Amino acid sequence: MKSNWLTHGKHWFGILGMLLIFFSQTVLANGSFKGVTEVDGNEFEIGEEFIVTYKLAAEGSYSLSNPKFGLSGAEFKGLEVIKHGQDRSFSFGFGDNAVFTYKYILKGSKPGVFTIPAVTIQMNGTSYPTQSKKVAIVKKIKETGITGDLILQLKPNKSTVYVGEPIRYDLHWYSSYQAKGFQLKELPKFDGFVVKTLESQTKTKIKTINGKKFLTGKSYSFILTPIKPGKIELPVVKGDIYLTTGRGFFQQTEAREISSQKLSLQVKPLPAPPNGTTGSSIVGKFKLRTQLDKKELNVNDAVTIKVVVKGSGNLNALSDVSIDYPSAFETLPPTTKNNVKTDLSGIHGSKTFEFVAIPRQPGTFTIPPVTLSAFNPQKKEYYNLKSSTITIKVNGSASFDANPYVSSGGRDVEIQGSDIRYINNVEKLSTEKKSDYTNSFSQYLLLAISLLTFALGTFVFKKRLLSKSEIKSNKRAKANRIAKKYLKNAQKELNGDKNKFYELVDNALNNYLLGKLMIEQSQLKQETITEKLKKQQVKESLIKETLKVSNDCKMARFSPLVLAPDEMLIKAEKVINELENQLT
Amino acid sequence: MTKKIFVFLFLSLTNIHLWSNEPLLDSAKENYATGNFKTAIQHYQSILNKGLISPDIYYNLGNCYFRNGQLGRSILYYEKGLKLDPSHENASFNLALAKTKRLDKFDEVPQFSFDIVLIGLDKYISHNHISILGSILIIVAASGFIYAKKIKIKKFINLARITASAGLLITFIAWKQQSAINNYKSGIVVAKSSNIFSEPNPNSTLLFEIHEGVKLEIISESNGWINIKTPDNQVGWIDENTIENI
Repeated sequence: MKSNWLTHGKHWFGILGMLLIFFSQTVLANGSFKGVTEVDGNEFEIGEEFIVTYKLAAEGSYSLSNPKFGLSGAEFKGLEVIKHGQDRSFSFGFGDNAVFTYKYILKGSKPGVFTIPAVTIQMNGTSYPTQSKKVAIVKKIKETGITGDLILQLKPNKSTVYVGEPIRYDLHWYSSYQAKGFQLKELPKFDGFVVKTLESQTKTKIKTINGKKFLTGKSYSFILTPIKPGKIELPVVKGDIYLTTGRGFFQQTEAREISSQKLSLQVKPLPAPPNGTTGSSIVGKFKLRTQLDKKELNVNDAVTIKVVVKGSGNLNALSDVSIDYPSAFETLPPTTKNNVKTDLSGIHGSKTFEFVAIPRQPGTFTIPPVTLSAFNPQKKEYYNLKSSTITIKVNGSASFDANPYVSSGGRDVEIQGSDIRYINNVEKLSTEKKSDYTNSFSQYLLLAISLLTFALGTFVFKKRLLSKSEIKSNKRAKANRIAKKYLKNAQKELNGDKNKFYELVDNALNNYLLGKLMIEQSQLKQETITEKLKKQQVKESLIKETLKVSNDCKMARFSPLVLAPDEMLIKAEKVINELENQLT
Repeated sequence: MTKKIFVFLFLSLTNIHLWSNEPLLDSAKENYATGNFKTAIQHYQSILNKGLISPDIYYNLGNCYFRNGQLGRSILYYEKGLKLDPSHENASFNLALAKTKRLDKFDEVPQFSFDIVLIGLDKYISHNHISILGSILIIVAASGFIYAKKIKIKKFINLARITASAGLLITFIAWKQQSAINNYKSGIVVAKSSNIFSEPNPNSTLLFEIHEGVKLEIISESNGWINIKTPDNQVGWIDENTIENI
């Protein structure tokens, strides 16, 4: 694939570029700007000059008239600035429309990893941030054994290693011809190692070795972690170097196969661990700490203890750590989180073990420190990693059957010194059949009676209210009859007891009014009667007549000479009849 | 009237309790104390055969079987005792302990249904008590209703209606609880080990083997075979001689 790309690259660039010219005017309207940081490689030798470019790239079409630019934040710590300035030679590379370019030429004087800082580019008052990058400054590569015209070399960064100690091999190529680059044929198989392959982006340099000029570059790095001791043969690495012949339009690319020389590595076994430390498989510099999510909790709540091992070395080989829990804790197997990175500086990062424990009893518990033994290859000795002691306070009371969903049986529950409880004294015995109240006859009966009470209550009271109003209308209907009855009785007394006669006539009239007007005895006054009769639209003359008859009756009882009894009777009858006609 | 109902109600609830002058009880207790668990089992069983029951007898039998090394039966009798008296503390303690001795470990899959909730409720309040509560509410509501009608206070009438509805709802829950309990049948594996088949015949596929003490939900029965469901919801058929109903 890649060889094709390299061979026919020119044509593709041409076509692609033309397409972009067409499209950039039409498709990419409303352009935006973006700050970019570029470094021409990521690893440089001490003293080697390299270029850092900050630019403001335009995406899409834009129009600027006399823009003002500024740049701030370019401070290079540990690196020497040789030259810097704004690059005025605008490049019109395809798809690379930088409106502003500022370049720094730097060099490093000591090995290490350095940060190329992110800067802020201002244009007409608007800020555009760029990204920070990292570069590695390495010691000058010793050029030995460079004979011939095309050479491929694997260069280790140390001479001997222990089992578990990572070692880095860099793959360098040298060519005395014009060359474009190098491509691996296949990834080499390193037996006896855990391998991580890193692709390098170093620029091709010209070096003079033993009076002969070479083009050279580094294309790959292999981080190897030996897993067994002894002399281990490294495989021969094979690849193609791309040479260019001809000039300009007639330039051609030719692939030439080269391979590295046979190498071997002496891997030292780890020494026997001294007394008091347990042997370990982790090699490097590490730190251990524990983290507790809470120091105080209730019985049956969960507590999470994190054990974090951090540092550089073969962290991946660390498979487990253990915590010595008190027996009151129920524990779950830990979960592991890996945050291990492999880069040119080796293997480093952290590994986190998360332990979840559930206390089943209250009290203050001390968990002894978590210890781990590791080997330091520089000092060639074992050392112990130790966390601080953890104290957990558990509140509440113990309960045997607190959590119903925790395993309620099986082999993993260990019972120590507990036994079943003793038999009970049987105090009561009952016949087998125990009758339930639920769904029993008595329940149904009770329900039925209660519901019946509701039904009857509703019905009975409704009836009572009805008859009361009935009585009212009946009373009105009866008023005439009662009055007639009184008058009849009065007629019988016409020639008898005069006092009784007048009383009966008075009663007839009064009872008639009481019934018809629906008033009570106490309301039987002249004013009330007048008012009520007026309301019923009775004629004024009749009202006067009614009151007169009523008054005459009362008067006659005490002074009998007011009116003749038969006349009085006729008058009363007439009044009642007329009232009956006018009242509806 | 209401007085009569109450008397009738409570008479129907009380059981005829017999004070234990049962000679077998004492000898069973003595045999247990001296380690003759087999004899103790026989005595307790003959008391049961007389038609007499008590949660304590079941509990004691559970202990006898436990000491006699019959784990399945001990779990069975603890469960029986707890069915009779869900608040029997010693029985639940010993049951929990006996369960830890089982060979099989099932991760109990919690099931959530109205019936399960009702069965769980039995531990705290039985359907009889819920029924009585419902009935009392209804009686109070009915008397209150009549009184409210008499003095004609609409507020009280509505209150009586709401109380009556609550009483009916509670009664309904009690009915549901009773039927849920009656419908839920379970058994304990009493054989040392037993096979679970895919069909009710020994020539069908053997699904898995279980050991004594496992509590199985009984779905149905057919010709000497029982369709069961394990605590982790696996369904299969088991020989009815290897399991006993709680």
